[in-house]
This record gives sequence, C-alpha cells and structure tokens, in this order.
Amino acid sequence: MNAFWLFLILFSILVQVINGDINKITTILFSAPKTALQIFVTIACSIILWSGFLRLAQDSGLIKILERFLKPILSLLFKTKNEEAFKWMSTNIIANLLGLGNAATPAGIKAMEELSKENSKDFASSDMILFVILNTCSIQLIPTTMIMLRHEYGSENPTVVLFPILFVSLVGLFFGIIFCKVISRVLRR
Amino acid sequence: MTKIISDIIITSFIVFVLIFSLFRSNDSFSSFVEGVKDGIKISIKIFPNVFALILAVELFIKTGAVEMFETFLGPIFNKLGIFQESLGLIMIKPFSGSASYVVLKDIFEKFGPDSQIGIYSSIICASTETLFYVITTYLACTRVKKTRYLIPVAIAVDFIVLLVAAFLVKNGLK
Repeated sequence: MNAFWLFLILFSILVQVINGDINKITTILFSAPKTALQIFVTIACSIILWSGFLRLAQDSGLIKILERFLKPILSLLFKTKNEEAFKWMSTNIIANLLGLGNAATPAGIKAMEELSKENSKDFASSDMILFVILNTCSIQLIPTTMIMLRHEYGSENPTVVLFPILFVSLVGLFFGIIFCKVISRVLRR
Repeated sequence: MTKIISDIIITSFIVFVLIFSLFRSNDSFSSFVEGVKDGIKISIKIFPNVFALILAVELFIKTGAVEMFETFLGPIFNKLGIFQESLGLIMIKPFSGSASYVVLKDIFEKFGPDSQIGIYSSIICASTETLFYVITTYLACTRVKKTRYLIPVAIAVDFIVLLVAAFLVKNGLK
C-alpha cells in the first residue's frame, strides 16, 4: 500500500510538471484535503447511521437468524472458529446481496476486527484476505443504481445488463475464491 | 422507477428491523445509540487511512494522470479485447464509487447507454468494486501492515471480470 500510495502522488505531480502547469499542483494540493474531508464526512455519516441499525438488528437477534443460513457455507470457506466473526461476515454478505452497500461497510469492518484478533502478526491472515476478496467481487442481486442510471440516460432496455452483471460477478467470485485457496495452500506448503 | 425499488428495499429493511426488534421487546433506542457509538469509533479509526487515500486519488484524477495512462494503456487494452473507451472508468472505479459514476455518465452521453461501449461500461461498473477503497477501509481497523497476496489477487479478479464482460458484449449481447 505504501509504494502504491507514493506512486499515485508522485506520478500525478510528474504528469502535471510534464504538462508544464506547475502552479496548478499547489492549487490541487490545497483543495484536495477539503474534498477528501467532505467525502469522508459523507462516508462517516452513512457508517454511523447503519451501525445504529445493525446494532438494533444484532440486539434483537435478527442477525443470529441470518447467520444460521450462511454459516454452513462460510465455515466451508473460512478457517476461523470465531462466532462473532461469522456473525458479522454473514451480515456483511447479506447487506451486499441486498445492495445496501453502506450497511455492508460497518459489518465488514467489524468482521475484520474479529478476524484480526486471531492474528497477532503484522501481515494479513488468509481468512482476512479471502474476506476482503469476497467484498471486492461485488455480488448484487439487483444493481439498482446502474439500472436507474441507464434509464435516466434514455436506454431502451435498462435491464439488459442484469444477467451479464450477475454472471460476470459470479465468475469473479469463483476465481477470487480459487486464487485465495490455492495461494494460501502453496504458501503454507 | 428503479429509484423507487431501491427506496422500497432500504425502507422495508429498516421497518423490518424495527418491527422485529419491537416483538423481541428489547430497548431499541439504547441499542441504536450503542450502534451509533460504534459507528463513530469506526469512523474515527478509519479516518486517517481513508483521508490519505482520497487525497492521493484527488491528485491522480485532477492532474490528468488518468488521461496519461489512457493514452499509454489504451492500445494494449484494445489488443486484449477490452473496450479502450472504457479505460477511464476501469482506472477510476477501484478508487472511488462516486467518481466512477461521473465517468460512466460521460460515456453514456458520448456513446449512449445502449451502444456496445455503453453496455460494456454498465456491466463492468456494476460488477467490479472500489477495491482500493475497500482494502483501505477494511484494513484500517487492524494492525496489518503487509497485505501479502491480497492486492495481486484483487487486481487479477478484476481483470478476469473485464475480459469476460468484453467477451460477452462482443459475442451475442447487443
């Protein structure tokens, strides 16, 4: 992440220098923190709101019921025996499936915290990596925003992309799981 | 129309959670408040990492570094069968969801949502994730410094998605 972050910033500045507009760098550099803060506030607000509802769902036992459906599948994929981790992973996956992306984030972070409790090292465990990969595969049953946007821009068939999106995401998910499993096995030897 | 569906899903989810909690007769208000406390803690914990990422991405987008990449990578992607015109979207999406929608709207305006490029862009925008953002936020609360094979696998999976989607669009989907 370190090398990557440095590359993003240095490359951006380099491009601007090549384009010969050096004074624009400072303009962008000083306005960027403000934008970053604004974006963060939006993200934080949705995390706070959904954390509230998630806690409600947790305390009422709703999440336990959801967990019962997903745990058999998840325990095939993950090595952890941590009940809390399973609970939050299930919540995260269900929120993702429903397209409640904002609700998925706090549950996902909590799951990661639980998974990292079993991992005292400074590198990510294979369970942690697999869980993040599942989250980057973006499985949604109804990609509402996309269909809405296509409709807005005058598409004659906004829903034509539904099946391809599902299919392509599943292919990604399949390879994600295979890669993770194979690599973690090879590394362990 | 679909905006309504999305609103209905979110509203009914919340109503369902509240009614379920009502029947279990636990103290909904204090549960919610406890959750909010959690949410504030999480937000503060991830703040430095998210801030640092957004800062770098802002520079990357605003300085025209993306366009630079497009001119270099465009022909290579074209050879691989990936629509060159979607490259801006492909590069922005891993960092920022909202910025990627701006790019997608540009594509819709330029080529139309029902063109091959429009359909391809719709598919990859919905079936790839803001992976660098997800990695940053999810790892911010742990003490992990080394991500091992996480980023290579995430990028490889993204790449497979790009290729499969291009294959679908070029063969059959109109």
